[in-house]
Amino acid sequence: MNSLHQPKSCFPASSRESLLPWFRSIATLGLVCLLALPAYSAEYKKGQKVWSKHYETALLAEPSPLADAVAKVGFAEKLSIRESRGTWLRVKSDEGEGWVFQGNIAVEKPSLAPAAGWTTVEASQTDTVAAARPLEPAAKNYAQRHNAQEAEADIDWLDAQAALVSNQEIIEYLSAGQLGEYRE
Amino acid sequence: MKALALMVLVLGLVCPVLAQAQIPGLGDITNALQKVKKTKDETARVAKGASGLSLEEEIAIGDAVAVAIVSRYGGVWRDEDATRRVNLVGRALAQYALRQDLQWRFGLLDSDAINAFSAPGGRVFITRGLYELPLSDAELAGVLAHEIIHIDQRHAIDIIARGEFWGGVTGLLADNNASYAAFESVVGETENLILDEGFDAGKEFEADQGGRELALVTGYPPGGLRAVLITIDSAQEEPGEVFSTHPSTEKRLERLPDEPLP
Repeated sequence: MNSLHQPKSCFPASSRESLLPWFRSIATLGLVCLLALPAYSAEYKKGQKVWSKHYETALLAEPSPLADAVAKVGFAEKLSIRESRGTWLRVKSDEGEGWVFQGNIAVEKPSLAPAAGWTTVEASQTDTVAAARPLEPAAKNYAQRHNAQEAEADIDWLDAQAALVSNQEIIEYLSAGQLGEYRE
Repeated sequence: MKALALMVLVLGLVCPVLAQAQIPGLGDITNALQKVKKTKDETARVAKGASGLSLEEEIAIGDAVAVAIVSRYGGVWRDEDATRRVNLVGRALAQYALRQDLQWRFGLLDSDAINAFSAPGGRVFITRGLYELPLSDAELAGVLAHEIIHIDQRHAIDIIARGEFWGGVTGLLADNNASYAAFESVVGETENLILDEGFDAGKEFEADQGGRELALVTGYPPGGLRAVLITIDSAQEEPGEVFSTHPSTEKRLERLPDEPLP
């Protein structure tokens, strides 16, 4: 009776035992490879395809944030790497060819666009203060149902504080600390 | 008005017939309309995301989970300078995150525990106990980058989408009792995942590795998180809650590159 209910296997028991160490090795190797896969790949190859991930990304004449823009690409546009220099990549797009900081591209195609309704600020409006997005109505209802009005008020305070930090301040912070594309 | 409605009705009935009759030009229009429909369907599918949740639903769940996190960890620590600092460092990192569809927010919890949390939709919290270790900018970046990766890689959302409590629920944000019950269920499971069970070790190590790379791309020394873990690991006193929802610091340190500390 039991044998009828045992799961079928491609390998007999003795074979399974002898193959077990191999399976373990392969599984371990797979896990190591998976963990080694960079989400923000620092190593790029010529010809590699990457994607823009911002609402708008400028392709620059030189590998410097102060260089003139030679082209602009929209969200999730495919780019082909021509050359890399430090943290900068020279890429080709349908709109033209230019330099882009590697932090501004994605190695996998982004699926969700930076919708204006959520990101609140377009790339070109960096000097404005981001509007504080309040808690979603469903979350407010959740807070009410769970008598968590204090937590709700705390998050409202937090959102107001976070909104005081403008996108322009982030850029100034990056620039002053020589971070991101502003490092020398 | 009636005439206009009649014309629309007639065109609606006649156009498919004409297109099938392959009248020159109309076939192209039909193809173009089909392409538009296909693009619209594709857009709707993408807008829902691979998890089957819309962005709005993800953010609503995340916001409700944030309420639960704040409730359970002593409320928000209302220190304006510290809050400004975590938002500067956090948003500098988020500038280079994959997900630019989110409004990232960073906050401090008024708790002595040493821990950090991320809620779907872009909210990241660290406790006062962790913040006051104290943390240099590189160390703070290491901690925040780890939490950003959990959101960036949709760790919680993917688990929610796989769970039975999620299966088949549509219109999660609709204004009716069935939707309230479904929302409660999803938020409760997500809260349990984030605050009690924690992510599985694989996702935590992925967040450690991805966070290290995000910090590096942003220009911070990559050993920030490692420095924090070493500080905690080498503490003489027996601390209270320390990264209780994460794998042991020893195991995490084993998997991070042995590089100079910032």
